[in-house]
Formats: sequence, structure tokens, C-alpha cells
Amino acid sequence: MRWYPPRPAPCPSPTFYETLPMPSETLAIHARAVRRVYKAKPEPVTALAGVDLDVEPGEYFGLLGPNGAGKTTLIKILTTLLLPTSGTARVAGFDVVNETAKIRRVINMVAGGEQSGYGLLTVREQLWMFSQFYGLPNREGWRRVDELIEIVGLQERRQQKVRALSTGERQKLNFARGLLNDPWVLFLDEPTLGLDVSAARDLREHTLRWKETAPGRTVLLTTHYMVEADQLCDRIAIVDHGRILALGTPAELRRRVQSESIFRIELDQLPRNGGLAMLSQLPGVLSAVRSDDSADGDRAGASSIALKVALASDSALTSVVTAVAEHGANLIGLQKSEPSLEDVFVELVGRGFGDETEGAK
Amino acid sequence: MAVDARPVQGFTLADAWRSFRTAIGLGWAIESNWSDPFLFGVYTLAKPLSAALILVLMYQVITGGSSPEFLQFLVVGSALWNIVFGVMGGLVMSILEDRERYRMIRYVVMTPTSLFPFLLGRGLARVLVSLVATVITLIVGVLLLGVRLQPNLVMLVPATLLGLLAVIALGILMAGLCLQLRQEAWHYPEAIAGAMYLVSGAIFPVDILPSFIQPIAYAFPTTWWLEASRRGLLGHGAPGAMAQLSDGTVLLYLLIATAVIIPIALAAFALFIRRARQLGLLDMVTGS
Amino acid sequence: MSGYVYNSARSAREAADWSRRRLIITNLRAVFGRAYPRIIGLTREPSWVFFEIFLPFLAVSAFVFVYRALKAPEEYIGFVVLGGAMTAFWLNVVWMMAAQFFWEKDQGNLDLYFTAPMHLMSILVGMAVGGLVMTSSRALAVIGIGTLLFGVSYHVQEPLLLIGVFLLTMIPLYGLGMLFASCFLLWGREAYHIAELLQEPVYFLGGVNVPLRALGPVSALVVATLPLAVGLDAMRQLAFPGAQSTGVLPVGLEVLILVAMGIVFLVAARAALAYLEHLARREGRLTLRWQ
Repeated sequence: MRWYPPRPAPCPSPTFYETLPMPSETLAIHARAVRRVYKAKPEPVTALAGVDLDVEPGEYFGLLGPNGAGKTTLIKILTTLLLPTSGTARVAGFDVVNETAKIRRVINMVAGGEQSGYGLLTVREQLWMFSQFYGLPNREGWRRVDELIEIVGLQERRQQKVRALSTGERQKLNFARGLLNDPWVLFLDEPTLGLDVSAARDLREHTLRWKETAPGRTVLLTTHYMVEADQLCDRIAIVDHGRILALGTPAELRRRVQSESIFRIELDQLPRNGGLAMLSQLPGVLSAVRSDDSADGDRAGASSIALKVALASDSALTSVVTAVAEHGANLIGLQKSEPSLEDVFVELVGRGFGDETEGAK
Repeated sequence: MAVDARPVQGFTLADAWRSFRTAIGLGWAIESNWSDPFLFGVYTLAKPLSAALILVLMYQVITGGSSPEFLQFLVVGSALWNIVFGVMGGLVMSILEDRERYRMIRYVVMTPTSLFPFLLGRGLARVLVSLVATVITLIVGVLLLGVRLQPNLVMLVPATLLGLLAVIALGILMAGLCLQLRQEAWHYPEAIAGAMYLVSGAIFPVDILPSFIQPIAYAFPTTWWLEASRRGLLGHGAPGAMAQLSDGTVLLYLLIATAVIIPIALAAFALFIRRARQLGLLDMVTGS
Repeated sequence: MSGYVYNSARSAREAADWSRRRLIITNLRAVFGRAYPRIIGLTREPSWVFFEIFLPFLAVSAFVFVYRALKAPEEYIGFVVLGGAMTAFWLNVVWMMAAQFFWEKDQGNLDLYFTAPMHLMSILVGMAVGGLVMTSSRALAVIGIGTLLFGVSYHVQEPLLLIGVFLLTMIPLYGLGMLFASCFLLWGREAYHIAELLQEPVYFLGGVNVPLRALGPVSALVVATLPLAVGLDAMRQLAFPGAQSTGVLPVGLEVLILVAMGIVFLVAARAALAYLEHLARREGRLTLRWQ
């Protein structure tokens, strides 16, 4: 939370306080009521229906949503490729409509499935060419290119022509290009699209490492891969039909769907003297039921019984485990089950537009 | 579900026709997509008419209009050459666009359909536009430039049919060749058609060429097609050595040249596609 | 400093604060960067020698033979050779510059250019510079081989003025190319067809194969608008004996027209690029493919 000294009574001449940057100018990304409507036949398409967003410097922020949610449209507005139909947006404190030149000096973008560049250039040449677009001195440009090639693991392909690269290698090249100018705000638009598990994991690790090494750098990631958003992002906005439905840390978002802690407990047998009823009456225990997949446990020869226990908080787990042991059962396995972001999204999309979060911050 | 082990039916003429028909629709949708009718009309008229007017102006400046037969020679040759530009451009652009812009060619190659009927159909829209341009140039020639047409259908119809086949064969050859190139080849069809301008007797009699180039000119089917078409439209062909030949001889040479170029073009196209598959050129994107 | 971190600015605002000197240098570097793929491409795909030099030379030769068939005076052969050489530059402007954004958009490069800090004009100039090697080779080949093969004779009394007129012609020519390039940002495929339309009609109006004077009253209008026509007319008067009688205006006046055109087209190009970029961003056409 920013602190600003109280403003004095209006003076006829500008004062020190009036020269302080406005809050929106200190944010990495700021969007207010951003709308984007495309002219289309038979009727216009509203890609963004009023988006409010504040991203602090140094955040790894995710936009999570299905195809057609408006994620790419928002990124295009923020990267100055598209004008908003209405509303305001600022990147690094600069207005996307009127201060595009300044924004372009401090941002970069990497999109998934990118086929840009020139096929007849080598990997090194391609990156060097882009370094020139950012004004890097020649020698510095080559040095930086070689460093980035090393970092992303393309050393053996450095002299290979770009058209001969595989999809994963191409995306590594794109990522290296995205870091050439050491951007203050890096936009990643579905960067792991089409990559195999290993290549996608590598790319995610690179983004995390870059953020850790480069203080104050902000990343805006759009993805429809829940796992990716969960792993990488400090905060996530769930987007659908051009609106932000929910915004928060991954844990906060999961708590929207499931406020209690749910544990799957595997026992060798039901506790004596009441079994499930006894467990349900323990303090902090909201419910204790047989897990669906433990129906076979009743049969003779079954090795375990699985229970699903809902607790008001994690601290109630101790009394459950103690009670199980005191009543003659042995604990075989214990696992906490949490809702996934997919559960969150399904929960949210299933609601009407009237139930959306308003101006979530 | 059991796999049907019966052998897959081979590619038939019906399949080829279906491919061709579909590709025509696709080609027309692409060609007609870019503009409103007015601009399309201007585009269809301005380009061929300007090409003809350049020659008319050259003629007018030098002769002052004193050689109307040569003017007719020029106008008809220029009008007919639109077809060459249209076919070359249509076929080559189709293959390059589908490879580099729409990235569809690999998917077409993967289907049971042959690339050949697809390519023909796809390029046909441009060919049709060029035919319209040819007709309009001739009409302007008749109305404004004093060209007197004396159509002889006995000559014109076979000349047109054989000529179109020959030009399409050349276009197929060029399309396959341009697929091999790793550099942008967008304007190569025009360059090739422009070079053929020199050796086909389109705008000057073949006799004007140096003697060592004349055999090359006589080997081109387009040379005989233009001569036969001129005879079919004007009642006479180019002055000089060709004027000594009868209509039948000209048609025969056209038939022979066409019969030679078609198998060469088809074989070369098949070879080029094979080479493209070997070298991974089918989904290559060039650009600089 | 690790490989990731490059600049030492303490904040984004500081990093975005570029001096005028840095802006100029960045744009100059961008020119060179964009020219690089074109230049290196010449060495990696030598087929351009055949398609960009030999074949166009044959096309120019066709018009020489038309004049031979018409039994034209020999200086007309020279007109065609010089006109053919200049069309190389016109085609470079139309296809390697004006229409280039069309291709770049399809390849996905246009997005990256717009999100980079250099001015678009630097990219266009880079394209033009990169294409100049090929274009100049073509022009020189047409003039050199055409002169030798067809026995063209020149009478150049002021070679420096001739070279100066040529260079002056290039400025408005490429300015016009930049102006067209901005149209492509908005009109996409339509502008691509307009580029096709800018060949034969321009050859006709530009007097590429015929002295401009032959167009009659229209020639005055053409001289006022088409840099190719003005430059060619002036160069013919300076290069060939007796060509002053075929010129539309005296060389001095045509030089002034070229200077004015250069200023007008470059200023218009810059303004048009900015305006049409704004329009294209508003319409969402910057990233719209397959129009």
C-alpha cells in the first residue's frame, strides 16, 4: 500500500506534492474499464467488456481463461498493438494510447506458436537483428545474444538456420528474443502452446529464473493451462467473455470454492466404538464419510478403508489422527485434497454474470 | 471397433474432379475477397490496358500511325499475353500462398487428392480474370485503336484450346520450380512471363530477334499459339518467315509444341514435388 | 551482472527515458538490422541473379526489339535501356518496401516491429537499403549489358549532375514507397493488389519506354506527381544527345521538382505512417492476417 503525504490546500503554483506520480503511474500495469469491441458481421464482437486490473511491479501475474476469453486482446492493448474502444490502460506508468513510444522501450512480448523472423537467418543472426531494433550496440548485442543462447540452451543450434528449428527450439529462440532488451514488463501470451512437457517445463523455469534474477521485473502471463498459472503466478485473474470473474492468489481462489480442508485418510479398518459417527463428532470435524472408491473395502480380503474427512481447519487433523489410533485403527495413508483452479473456473463460469466479482483488486 | 482390412480405393477421376471443383471455389473466394467491385473493375482494366497503351504509344511516337497492321499485331499480342501473365501468376501464386501465407499445402499433400487438380482449380480464378482482361483489351482495341477483328473460328478455337493447355503446362512447370526456391518468389512469375515476352513473338515478329535466338522462339508453344490466334482474330499473322506458313502448319506446330510441353511439365512437376518432400520445402517459410 | 539483466536503470520510467541521441542511434541500428536479412539472403540463395537480373533484362530487351521492328531512331533504344534500369528501383519500392508490411504481417513480424522502440520508417529504410544491392545490380546489368548488346551511345556532359539527379530521384521515390507502406497497414490485401496495379500504369505514365512528352498535356500532371517520371525525364536529357527536345521541362526545373517532391513525400510518409498506424490499431488490423 502506497503512502502519500496529505495534500495541502490548493496553491496558485505547482508544489512538490503535485509532482509526485499518481498511483496508476507507479503500477506495472493499470487498466480501468477497458473495453474492446470489434466491428464484425453480423454483429460487433465484444472481446473485452470492462476490465479493471492493477499489477504491481515485480509481480508474476496470470490471466487464466478459455479460448476467446479476451486474454490476447488485453495483451495486445497493453503491448500497444491495439487501441481500447474505451477505458484507460497504462504500462509502466505510460498511457497505451498516447505514450506508446515510451512503453515500447521497456516491454517485450513472447507469444506461443510464434513463427516470426526470417527463415534464412541463423539463430544468432536472428537474435542479433532484433537486438539492433532495441538499439543495443553491435558488440554488446552479440555478447547478449550469446549469453541468452547459453541460458535458454540453444548453444548447439546457434548456427542453425531458423527454419530448421523444432517447435520447442523455436520457442526458446522467441523467449531469448523476449529478453534481449531486459524488459521491465514481459508479456507472455500462451508461451508454452504446442510445446512438449519437457520444453514447457524448461520455459517456465527460465521465466522464473529471469524474474528472480532481475529485480522489479513484471510478467503478465496469459494461459489456459491451469497448472502453469498455479505454478508460476503470484496472483491470477480468471477471465471469461471479456470480464475478470475473480482475482487473487491461487490459494485465495481455491478457497472461494472450498473454504474447508478436506483430507483423504486411509485406514486398515474402521475405528471401533462408533467409527464414522465418532469421528464426525470430534471438535473441528465438519464431516467424515466413506470415500467412494473404498466401497470394495467392505469385502472380505480388502486391505484398506478410505475416508473423506472435512475439517474446519488443518489444526483439527491432530485430534482425528489421535482418535483413529485410540480406537484401534491404523493409519495407512493421509492426503490433503484441494480444489484445482479448474474447479474454481468451473464454479465461476457456472454462475451468471450478476455473480461476478466487481472491480476486484 | 475392428479395422476394415479391405484395400483402400485408389484415387479416381471422380476424386480429381471433386478436388478441382472445390479448389475452383476456394480460388475464387480468395481472389474475390480483397476488394469492392469498383476497385476490382479498375484493377482488371487498368493493368492490361496500360500494358497495351505503352506499346500503342511507342508505335504512335515512331510511326505516327502509318502502319495500322503493326498496331493490330501489337494490340492483339499484348491482349493475349494477359493470359500468360494470368496463368503464370495464378498457378505460381497459388502454390506459394498456400505454402507461406495460409500454410495449407502440407495438409493438401497429405490427403488422398493429388496436388495437381487442386493447384489447377486454385489458380483458375486468376486465369478467368486474365481472360476478361484479354477480351476488354481487344474491345478497346476495336473501339478506340482501329483494330479490325476478322474472327476465323476454325483457327481460333483450336488455337485457344491448345494455347491454354500449353500455357497452363508452363505455369505448372513454373509453380513446381518456384516451390524449390528458398528466396521469396512472389514476383518471379511476372519476371518469367516478361522474359517469355521476348521469345514468343508477342509484340514484335520473331524475325527481329538475332538468328541464334530464333530457334528458341520457335520451340516455345506460346509463339505458335500467338501466331495461330492472330490468324484466328485478324485473318493474318506476323510478317516475315511465319507468314509463309499455312494455317494448318501453324496449328500443327502448335499441337506438337503443346504435346511436347505437357508431359515435360507434368514430369517436372512430379519431380519438383518429390524433391520438395525430400528437402522439407513443403512447409518452409521463406522471407527476408 | 547476470546474463538476464542488461540495463542498469533503477526503474521502468528511468529505462524509458531515452535521449535524442539514443533515439537516433537506435533507429540507425534498426536500419542496418533490417537490411541484414536482405543482404545476407543474396549470398545464401544465388537464384536471384537469374530471376532478378537476367530475366528482367530479357523483358527490357523485348521493348528494344519493338523499337527495332518499328525502325525507331537509335536514341529510343537508349531510352528503353535507361527506363528499364529505373524500373528496377520502382519495383524495389513497390514490392520490397511498400508491400513488405503485408508479408511481415502474415509472418508475424509486424507485431514485433510495433512493440519495439524503433520508428517504422527505420524498418522501411532498412528494407530499401537491403534491397538496393539487388536492385542496383539489376539496374547496372540492364544498363551495362544493354549498352554493349544494343550499341547504345551516351553523351554525358555533366556526369555529376546526372548522378545527382539519380540520387535526388531516389529520395522521393522511396518516400512514396513509405507512403504506400502505410496504406498496407490499413488496407491489407487491397493494398497488395494496388501494388500490382502500380506497375504497368506507372510504366505508361512514367514514360519508362517512351519519352514522357508523348503523353501530351497529361505529361505535365505526371511530372508534378510521379518522381520516377521526373527523374527519368531529367536523366534522359542529361544522358543522350538531342534528348532535350523530348524532355517535358528543363533539367533545372525538374531538379527543383524532385527536391520538393522529396520533402513532401518524406513528410507525408511520416505523417501517414503515424496516422495509419493509429487507425490500424483502432480497427484491429495490425495483427489481422489473411485479409
